[in-house]
Parts: sequence; structure tokens; C-alpha cells
Amino acid sequence: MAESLNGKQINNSAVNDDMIKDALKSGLSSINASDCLVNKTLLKCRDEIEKGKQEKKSKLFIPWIFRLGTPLAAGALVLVLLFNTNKLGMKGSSSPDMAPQASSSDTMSLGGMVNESKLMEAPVPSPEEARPAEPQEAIDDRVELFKEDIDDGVGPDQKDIDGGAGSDERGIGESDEEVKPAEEGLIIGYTKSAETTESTEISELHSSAKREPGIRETSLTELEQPFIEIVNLYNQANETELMLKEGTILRITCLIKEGVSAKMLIDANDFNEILSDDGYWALPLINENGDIEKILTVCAYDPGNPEAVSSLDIIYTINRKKYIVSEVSVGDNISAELKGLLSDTLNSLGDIDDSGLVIIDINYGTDFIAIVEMGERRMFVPLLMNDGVFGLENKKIYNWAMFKRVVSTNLEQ
Amino acid sequence: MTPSEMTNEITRLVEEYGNDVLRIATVILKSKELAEDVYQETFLRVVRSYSSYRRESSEKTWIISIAVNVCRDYMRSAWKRRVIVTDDFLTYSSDNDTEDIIEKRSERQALINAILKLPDKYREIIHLYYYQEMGIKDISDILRIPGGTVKSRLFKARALLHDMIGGEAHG
Repeated sequence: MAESLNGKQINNSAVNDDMIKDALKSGLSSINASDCLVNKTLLKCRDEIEKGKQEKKSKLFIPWIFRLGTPLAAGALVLVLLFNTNKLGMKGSSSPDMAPQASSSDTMSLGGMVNESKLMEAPVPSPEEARPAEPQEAIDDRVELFKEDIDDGVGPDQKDIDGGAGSDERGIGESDEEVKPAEEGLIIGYTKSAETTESTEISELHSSAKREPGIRETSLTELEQPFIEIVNLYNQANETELMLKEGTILRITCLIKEGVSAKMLIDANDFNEILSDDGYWALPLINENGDIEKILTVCAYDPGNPEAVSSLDIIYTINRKKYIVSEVSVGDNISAELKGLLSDTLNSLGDIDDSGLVIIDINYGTDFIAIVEMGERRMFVPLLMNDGVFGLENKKIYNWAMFKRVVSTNLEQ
Repeated sequence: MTPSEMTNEITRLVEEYGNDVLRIATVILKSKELAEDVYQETFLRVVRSYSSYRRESSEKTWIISIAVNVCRDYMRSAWKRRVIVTDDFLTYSSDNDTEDIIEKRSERQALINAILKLPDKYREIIHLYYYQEMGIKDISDILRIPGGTVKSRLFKARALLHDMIGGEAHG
């Protein structure tokens, strides 16, 4: 019995193990790595070997696979945080969408009712008050807020702090001992935990190599159209119908290129001193059910920075400008719980104004700090895939002085 | 190992196993361009994981295992679907062939085209078994599947080839 394949007849008896082997050996023998490919590969390997030592240190804390999932995790957590703070802060405006909030001392709201001169603490609000999604409890339970003094870390109103809690330069453990609950004002989830003392061998904070200049000044409005086109191209290539939900794009800011050492951090008077103008974007894509299904991270392609492109990236050209696009599969790396939470949060928030929010990549695209500005108050919230890295506690709220103190202490000096 | 020694070692591995990596990637991904990407990525991963290589398996098994994993990453990624797959990139032709040779080549061409049309999991196992001439245990280690599954997939792959070319593809 024989059958035509590509117009050729094959004899039954010839189709056996030897024939298969012969066909493969003969067919594949013409496939050889070109000199160019070999040289290019060896060059890359040499580079890899040379920077191997430094990367080895980082890899102790950064499983590379987490890098893909991190933008989503960061986005989710930041949005949850924003949702939470917005919601609490809107108490004064009596948003009809808000869950009812009690006015007793143990169910105060964050935001407009904050007394800047006092550092206060109170029990965590009930889940019904705080947010609709279950995982938020974990955030609430762990949130601590410390008095913010943007200028010098020592508050002029220090005397007003109950019990003379001292300056911002004190340790978290110390403040835990000294501050007392107030009757009104800021709600914080009070935990007794002192600053995480887990030490690392990392001597500097670094951001991802995937970055484009001028991210902080770039108008998101100008990029919406290219981003929409990127999503369209992505959909065409993948036969999907995912959508970019307006207002959910996250701007990720990078640290200065040379990295931030403990000394640089200590010497910095303001967090802006350690930031570069570089960064990248995270685009959450939703499916027809409104669930986040993919995240694309996007930055402009710089031919002078080939390290920014990995083999799994794709470069799209939109209006003659090239963008490096990386895909994050939500299902692969992010728990269903977090995925659901992100979707719920996005649905609840609608459009997000990121003007009061800075997300900083502090660990090669793996760990982030969200800086939330509310009036004159700045909150530094670690969003970490590697909990405890740099001595930071995930999702806990720090002020600038505390952030500097904890991180600089835990960086190898 | 010093960086210089490491560089020499990687150069040796690239020269010795590079073509095997390129070929298995070509068969699995059915794309020369992607195969070249896999080639580079495989050896970068070899560099990164060299210190953890315990030599419990042969160098070839270790490197092919990495290459298969890289291929799988590519296949999982959306980008692979952008590539236009051509099944006729492995061709046999020569103007000076005699009729017998032409017939033989045609048979080979038909068979290799059939192999390339196999589902991924059968294509990779056929390549490892017949081309790389690996044993069931090595294939089991590389694909991280039980030996029995390796055998059953081989059986199924042969059966599929049999169906596709209408012959009795058994050994």
C-alpha cells in the first residue's frame, strides 16, 4: 500500500526506522550554524561570562521568571493601594459608591481627615469598609504610616506627636513603641513588626535595562495611539481580541543608570535625586469579560542599548518609531486571586490619574516602590516579588526617611 | 573557573553541539529564524547554568535539554505564531541526480515532510530518538516524562507517520 505525499510514492517496505533516521540525517545535514551566528553567540556568551559575577548575586534574589510577572503584580498592587486610599480618602466627599464607614475612633478614614501634626494609629477597618476584594485585608493588616516630613526628615511638629515619638530617622521598631493611638485622624493597620532585618548581598539598587528616556515628561496622551496600534498588531499576530482599557496604563520609572548605593541613598535629600528620566510602560489588556489577560511592557527601542532586548521581545514599528514589547501572561505568573483583584479594582476605579503616583523599578524589573502623593504627604510602598529584599516589607507604607534608613542599612556597604 | 577558561569551554561547547542545537530547534519550531534565536539563547543559558551542571547526564543531553526548554518557551510565547511556517525548508535537490537517487530523495523528502507535519510532541521525540540517537532514558530526562510515555509517544509517532504516508512505519 502506498499513498501519494507531495506527489511522490513511498514504498511500504522503505518506511522503517532506518528510513526515518536516514531522512532526518540527510535532511538536517544541510542545516549548520553560520560563522556569523557562531560569532554572535560567542560574543554574547563572553559578555554574559564577564558580567556573570554581578548577575549571580542578583539572581540569588531575582528568579528571572518573576521579571515577567512583576509589572502586573506591581500594577495590581498599586491599583489596589490607590483604590484603597482613594476610597478611604473620599469619605469626606461622601461618595455614594463607598461602603459605609463608621466614625468611631477605630474606624477613621485616611486622607482629608489626617492631622499632619500627629502620627496616629488605629485598628484596621473592617473588610467591608476597606474594599470589596478579599486580598486587600492583607494590605490593610500590614499598613503602617509614619509621619512624613519631606524636607529634612525631622518634623517641626514633632512635639505634637503623642509621647514625643521623635524624628523620622528613628527606626520602625522605635516608633512602634512610642506612638499612641489617636482618637481622630489617620487610620493605619498597626502591626508590631519592626523593620525587616533580612540582609542581602546586593550593594546597589538597579532598574531594568529596558528603559526609554524622558518617561517622566512623556505625555501619556501622545502615546495612547501608538499603544492602541501596538495592541492591534498584537491581536493580529495572536488572533486575539484583547483591549487596552483606557486609563490603566502604568508608567514605571527607573533609577539612575549607574545604580543607587547606600551612600547615595543616604545623601539624597529627595527621592527625585535617585531617579532617572528613564522608564517604561505597562499596558494591561482585558478580554471580552473585562478580565486582565495579558500585560505588555513597552519602551522605545534604543539601538545603542541592545541589552534591553531579550529574545522573547518583539520590536514593533509605529509611525517610524520602534518599540520593544514584552508579553506577560497573566495566567502563567500571576495568581488567579491577584488577577481577579486587579480586574475588580480596575472596574471599580475606572480611569486612573497617575499624576499622584510614581512607580519605581528598584530591582531589575522585579521589585518596585510606589510613591503615592496625597497633598504634601508622600507614601513609599514597596511592591515586592522578593519580600524582604533590601529589608523592606511588602505593601507596608514608609516615609522617605524610613525608606532611606531601611534600604541603606540593608544594602551591602 | 576563570572567565578565560569559561570562554574557552563555551567555545568548545558551541563548536561541538551548536549544529545539534540548531537542528533540533529547526525541527521543533519549523523556522530557521527562530531556530537561530534558540541557538543563541541556549548557549546563553548554558553559560548561566554551567556552574550548576552536575555532569549527571552527558554534555549533549544537558545542552539538548536546555535547547528543548528554550524551544518550548518560544512555542508558549505568542511570538511563535507570527512566524510563517514553511514545511519545505528541508529540501533535497541536485541537477546531477540519477533517477534512482531522485526517487530516493523524493522518498526522503516525503518522509521528512510527514515528520514536520507531526504534532510538536511527536516531532521532538522522533528527532531525539532517530536523529540524536538518544536512548529512552535520556529522552525521558530531557522531556521530563516517564520512559513509558516516551515509548508510547514513539509508537504513536510511528503510527501517525504510517497514516500520513500510507506505509508501515515501524522498526
